[in-house]
Amino acid sequence: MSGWLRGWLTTTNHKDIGILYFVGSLFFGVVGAVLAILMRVQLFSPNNNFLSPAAYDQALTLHGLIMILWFLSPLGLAFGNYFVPLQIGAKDMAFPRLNALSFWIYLVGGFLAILGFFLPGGNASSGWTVYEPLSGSQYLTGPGPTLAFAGLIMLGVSITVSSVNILVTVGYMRAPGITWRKVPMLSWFIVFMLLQALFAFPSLLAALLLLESDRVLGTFFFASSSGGYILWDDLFWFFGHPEVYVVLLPAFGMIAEILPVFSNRPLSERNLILLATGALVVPLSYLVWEHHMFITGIDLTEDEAFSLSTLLISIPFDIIILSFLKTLTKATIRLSIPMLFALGSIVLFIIGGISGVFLSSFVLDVVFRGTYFVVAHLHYVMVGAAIFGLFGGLYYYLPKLTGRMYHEGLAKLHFAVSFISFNILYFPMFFLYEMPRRIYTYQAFSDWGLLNSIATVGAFIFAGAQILLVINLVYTVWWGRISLTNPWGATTLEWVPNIMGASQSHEPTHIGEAHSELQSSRPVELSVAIGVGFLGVALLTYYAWGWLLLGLGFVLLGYTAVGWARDDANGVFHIADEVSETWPFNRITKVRLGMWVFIATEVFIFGAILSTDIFIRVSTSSWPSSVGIQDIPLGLWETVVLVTSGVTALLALESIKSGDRRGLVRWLLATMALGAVFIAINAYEWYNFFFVRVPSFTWATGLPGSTYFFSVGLHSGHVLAGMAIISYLLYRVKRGAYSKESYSGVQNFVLFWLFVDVVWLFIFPLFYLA
Amino acid sequence: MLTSPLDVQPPTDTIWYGLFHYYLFLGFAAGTIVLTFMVYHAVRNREKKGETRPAPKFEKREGEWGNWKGTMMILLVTGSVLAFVEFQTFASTGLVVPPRGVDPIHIEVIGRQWDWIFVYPNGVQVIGNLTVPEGEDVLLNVTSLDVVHSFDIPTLSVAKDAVPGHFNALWFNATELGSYLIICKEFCGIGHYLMTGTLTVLTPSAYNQWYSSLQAPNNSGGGGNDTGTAGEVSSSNSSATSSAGSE
Amino acid sequence: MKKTTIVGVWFVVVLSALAETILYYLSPDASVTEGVIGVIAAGAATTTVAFSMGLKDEEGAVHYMVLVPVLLVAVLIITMLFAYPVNF
Repeated sequence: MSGWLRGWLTTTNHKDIGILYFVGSLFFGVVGAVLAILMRVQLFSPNNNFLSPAAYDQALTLHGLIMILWFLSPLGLAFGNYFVPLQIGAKDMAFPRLNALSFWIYLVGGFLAILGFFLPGGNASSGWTVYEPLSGSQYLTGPGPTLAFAGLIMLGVSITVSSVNILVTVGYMRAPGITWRKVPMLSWFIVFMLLQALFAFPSLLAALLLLESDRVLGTFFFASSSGGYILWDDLFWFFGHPEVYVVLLPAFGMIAEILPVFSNRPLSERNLILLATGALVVPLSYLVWEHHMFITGIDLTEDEAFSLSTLLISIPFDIIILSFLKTLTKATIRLSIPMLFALGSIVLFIIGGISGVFLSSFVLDVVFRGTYFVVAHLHYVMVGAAIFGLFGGLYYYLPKLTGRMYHEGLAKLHFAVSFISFNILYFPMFFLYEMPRRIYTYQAFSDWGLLNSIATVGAFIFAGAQILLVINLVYTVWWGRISLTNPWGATTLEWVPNIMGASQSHEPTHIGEAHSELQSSRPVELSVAIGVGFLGVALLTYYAWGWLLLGLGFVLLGYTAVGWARDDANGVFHIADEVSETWPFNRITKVRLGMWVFIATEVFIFGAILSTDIFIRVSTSSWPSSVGIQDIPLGLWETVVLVTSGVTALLALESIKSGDRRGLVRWLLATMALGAVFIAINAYEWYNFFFVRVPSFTWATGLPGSTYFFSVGLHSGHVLAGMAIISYLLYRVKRGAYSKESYSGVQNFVLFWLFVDVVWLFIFPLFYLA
Repeated sequence: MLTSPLDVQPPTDTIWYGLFHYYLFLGFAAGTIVLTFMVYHAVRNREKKGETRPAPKFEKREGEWGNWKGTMMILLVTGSVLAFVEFQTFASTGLVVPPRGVDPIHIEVIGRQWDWIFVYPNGVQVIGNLTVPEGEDVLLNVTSLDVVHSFDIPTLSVAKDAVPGHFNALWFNATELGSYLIICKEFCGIGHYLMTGTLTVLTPSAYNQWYSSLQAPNNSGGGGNDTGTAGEVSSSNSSATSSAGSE
Repeated sequence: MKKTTIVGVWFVVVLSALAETILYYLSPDASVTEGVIGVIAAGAATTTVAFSMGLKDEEGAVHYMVLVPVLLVAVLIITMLFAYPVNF
């Protein structure tokens, strides 16, 4: 393999990964745009049949998924990866290999989603919101959708890992003197973005795991008429609403950087902006999601409550926009390209945001919901505000990324044509407030034809204008004028050359060369392994050789895991695990902090699953008592075994804390043995359920089966993972790791293991005693 | 648009447009004020070529916390406006809550891929055609046989999701004779765009005539209309449907 | 960590499980019983997290970080359970 390719596949450097995210997200942006153009052509005139209905439905679904999840969200992460460490004076991310892993999982997941088009039956065609029961295996048949949803699971994992990584980085690795007050606005907004993502994506992951379980295993979570549809709605939109702020906040961060630089004055009311975003937007964003569900038939009181909370959340945005605009007063404004895009973004956000206030009314929503009014609103904020803001950021940072200046004329043309054609494309949609979304075609009598034609023309111009951006990027890289180190006169740390070693160098990543001192092939190997495994899962209900692929995925997974362990044993990626003494994490070590953040996301995933179990039980009219099904004494034994294994794990930790390696091994083996006993009892119970009991009790026999087997199965999967980690620890001990001074690996394992115990403490009463 | 200009606006339409106009006017005003402010300052403070203006003086408080009191005052105004429109929303729940003290006509609506089936009080099922008398309150109990649909009569500004396993209620009162379009506005599969129906509003006497001749349940024409003939005026088992084609 | 803490938590959790089981056998399927069982389970879980996992010794910021998802789960489940009108 050539050195160049190898370099990019194995890099763990944050700047390289930032570039990879830029390229990856722009690629997916092009794919999503092509799908959009196809849709707009189809909608150009009434009774059109440019695409078939099936093709159109797939296009609209993947357009939404790809644009929001594989283009916009990662584009924000691209900025975060490249610039946050520079802005806070950190040498790299907290966990570089995990950072690379995030990218490759994201990329492979995206390929899986696109691959769905080429499988028999085509890709998912349920709309990006994947509403149930439409997206279950009864109505949405074929391996394509299953594969696309698996790709989504990978994306969810990728972003959750990134959230943990970047949050620990900013919390922990700021250079001395960079207090929270001195952290620049982009980094602050990336932190806010990830605080949204941190608990939103676990909800999506829980929902997708349940969905794939329905599709592949035949469970009934969403297919039942006991509120299956609303279960999906709640879990999905609990993710969906914070997600739109994940998309928006990086753009606001860029605007907050650009405005003061090009207005020659400090950002007005900077602390107020931060307070409004951190204390109001972030928490409230988790409390408004039901405004996507106003007319689904939920209780009127909930409609009213969420209408109020949605209205409340517009207030901090008022503060932010007001402060942005105040920055234009008492200023000397340079209308350079980044500034034009920032101002354009604010204008489009104002229009989009005001239309959002219309949608916060549960009475007005009766007419607007499911129509092109919503389409107009969401594109004004997600394309208008977010993309214009991020493009402004791209132009702003292009001199830093490439060392060269872009072509001014092309960029001006790009802005002007984009801004005008954007409004031609989306403004007419406000008037189409009676035209339903996601319809393949419409009748001539409805006089929607003219507005749709205008929108389609706008779409072509808008898409064409983005070609100017691509041309400009290529031009800049090859022929751009070499630029000053700090061409804009900005005052934040990322513009200052050569402060703290290679990371701070104004020397950009040599285009074409990755330059990471620490290379690892494990992230890309692991991502491929997971991708192959998921491909197998999607195919195995249709083709027998899907099982082969699944097996191959496991083999690759094992190979990569062993390789990773060996890398660790050879000390390649030794992370010095000290205490940082930066507020608010004065006493905790970096790796343990990462572990707690990870546990917090797992708390949410298991919490969502258990909430699902409770909800299903409450909404189902007749639910069998557990006495008739479960063997309660066995459940008690499982509890005792698991809790005792927690004791042995703690004793292992205590041993190594006092330097006793033999004790460590002894107690780890005891923990492993107890874990094995737990799994054995579990297996015995399941054997009885499948083969001994008449009628047999499986996950496909009804809702009690679905909830029990999924929840206990997920938990036991975690137990098995814990046992695999014990093997890793034992291997490391054999190679000489862990001592009285350095035992963080053991400590983090114990945290994980105890967490798994705690989850069982809820599962036991819920399934055995109810 | 699908909204035909009606001489007398139906009650639900009145409620909805009344509320909409509050939001529209205030939203427009807010947007205009803010955008004007923005464009004015962006243009006025532009750096002119060759001109050097002295750097503006900022008191310490202008940067980090700024004139936060001024911001709070503006927030008080915007907060009041928002509270006002929200109050108007709460006062308009008459759109989604059936009026009390009246005895509406109860009709069940069953959505299934890709038809609307109407079950009248005498138990007769009609596919695609909802016939009601003018000026009477009608209460629809909407449900679905398969996936989630959304029952929508755009002209009357009423809509509600049709979900499997549950009944959702919506009401209306048609004040003008004629035919109106019924659509589905929740994506429900490949035939979603074909899932239409017709609302026919008759005079009370014509309605009584029609209703009394509504026959006992028999097979609806064509069984499962999966390929989209549901939009046409249904030549089903109901006899004297007097209206013309859909609007 | 003191050995007494480790063993103490073990006793608390095992006794909680036994108490839940006994309560269940005494009056299976009554909602109040289920509520009490839930509270006991939550107590055992909190004890494990605070003492065995050492959360009580970590700083306040970490406490909040773990508390937030718990609160969000509570919001989720309350909203899910109250979705349907009472007089359905």
